[in-house]
Amino acid sequence: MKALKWLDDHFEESILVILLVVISCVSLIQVIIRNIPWIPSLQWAEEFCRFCWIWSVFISLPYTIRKGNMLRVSVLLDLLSGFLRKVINILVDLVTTGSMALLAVYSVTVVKNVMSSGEASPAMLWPMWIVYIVMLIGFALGTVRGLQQAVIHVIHFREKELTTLEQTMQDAAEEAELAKGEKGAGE
Amino acid sequence: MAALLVFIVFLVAIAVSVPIGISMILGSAAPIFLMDKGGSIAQLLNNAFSGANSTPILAVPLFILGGVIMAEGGISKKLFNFFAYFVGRLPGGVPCAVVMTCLFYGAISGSGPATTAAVGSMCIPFMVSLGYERRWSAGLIAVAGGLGVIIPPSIPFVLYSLATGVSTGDLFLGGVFPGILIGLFLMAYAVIYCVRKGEDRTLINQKMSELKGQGLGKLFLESFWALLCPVIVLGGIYSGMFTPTEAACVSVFYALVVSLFIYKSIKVEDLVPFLCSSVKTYGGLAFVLAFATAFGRVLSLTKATKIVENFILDNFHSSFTVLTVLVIIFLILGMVMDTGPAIIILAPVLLPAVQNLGVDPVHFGVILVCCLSIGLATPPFGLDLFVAGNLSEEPPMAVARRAVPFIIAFLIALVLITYIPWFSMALVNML
Repeated sequence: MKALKWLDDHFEESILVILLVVISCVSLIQVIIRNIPWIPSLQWAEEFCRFCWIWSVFISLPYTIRKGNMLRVSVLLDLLSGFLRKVINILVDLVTTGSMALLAVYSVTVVKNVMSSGEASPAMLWPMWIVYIVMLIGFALGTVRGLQQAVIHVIHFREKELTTLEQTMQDAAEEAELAKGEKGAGE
Repeated sequence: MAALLVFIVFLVAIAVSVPIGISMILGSAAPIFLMDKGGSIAQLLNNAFSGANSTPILAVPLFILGGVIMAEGGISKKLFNFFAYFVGRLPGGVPCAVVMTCLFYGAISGSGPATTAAVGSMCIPFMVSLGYERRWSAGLIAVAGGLGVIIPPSIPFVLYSLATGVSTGDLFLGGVFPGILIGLFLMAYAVIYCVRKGEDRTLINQKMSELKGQGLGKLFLESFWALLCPVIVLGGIYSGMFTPTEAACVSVFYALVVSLFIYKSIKVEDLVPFLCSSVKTYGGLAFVLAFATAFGRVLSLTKATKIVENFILDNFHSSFTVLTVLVIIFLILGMVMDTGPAIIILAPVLLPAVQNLGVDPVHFGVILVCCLSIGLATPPFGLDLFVAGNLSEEPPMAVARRAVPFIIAFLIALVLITYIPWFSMALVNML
């Protein structure tokens, strides 16, 4: 149960963090090597980092859906009553889930096409479906996370939900808190 | 017709608070399903994939991570002391040193709210202890923090470059003078205010003497590593030693080495929270950024881009009028929409038309970023205001009222930047 909770909170996050570390380190090595004249530059590094980023892009979908921090414009929503706001939020969850499911279905075809074409990456000669498959994974996980959000929003329907303004306030407080910590360290 | 459908579906979805990424999916899928136009879903996915498959994009997560690490380094205080050493004794000198700190700190962190938080947490209490009004100090910080995204290295410029293909290096150069100009206007207002209101000179001079006592050498050494960071990043790009993406990568490790070993302000175990906070910052942006390529393809397939271009060219005949209208639209958008998506969506649609009217792409990018960044300090949603309000423990709206003169000073500078392309183009043309 505890493991499940951890996965729920941090599964996509930990993948993203690992990818970020890998991207940073590999590009550092690449920069260094490129600037040393007598060592041939790393052809694979740039491609490898790009592939890591593609993975990050599609894994970031379920991550942001679950954390509820997809970028959105909610000015009009804030003008509505709490009840309507919650109803719309649940509808938005369902629209998100639907879009993810639609793209997941179509990405099966895309991945299949890439697999049968046997396309390989130019530098590392990896089969390209290894990269493309993350679309399917991302959209499928996105569908699951979207549905999960909808269910959570329905279950917690009676609880108070923050408006964007209150959410901004909270984010700002966190930002300020971090900065205060820094001040202590700086002195 | 198909173009209209894309726009309507997309805008309605945005208005009812569907996330921007999902709104793009809906907008691009609508003509495919309803009118059998605009390609196929498989093409859409392939385009999204190639949108993600780009090396320049990597600069975004890396600059964000570098900024997060550097912001923890206690650098804002060191920078402030350095500038206060020179101008602290002049009338209005302390607030001016704050603005300069924001200018330079922005060059390090590249994010508005982060600049506000880092500089404000140190400067607001300090200014209050010198007798400046608390709300006024917070208002100053809220607006000056916006300078962070104009002075390079700046993430919004990287995004604009991704969306339009304009060189990141040129945009970075284009931002330098406008950033300084805005800084000068904010400082001018601060000086006028201080002269009229009067300052507690004895208290300030006493503090400044303490600072002088430390000696320029020590202050310079302390701030040296922070001052060097933008020099390395920009110098590296312009000397051709590294690409913007590589510069972003260098900034991560530079910040890491300086914070870990020189300032000793962070520990190795702090790194995981930094990584998480970076992931959180770009998480919302990553997919929007990739799918924007697919959305852009749909817009041009359905001739939507062409329609916007013709509309602008038919109704406006000079760059002067079109820029005026666009600046007003951008200012309003900046209040309600995140800077990143606004740039990615607007830039490619509007650029062809304004370019046709003789506006340089770099100049247009600078205008766009300046307009959107003031949104960060504009009530009711400006995040910088909330950060400054929180730091000063004052209600954000009270801070907002005191920020209004600063916003006006910013707007005057914006007018100059918009109508005198020289500010944005001088350095680009020179190098």
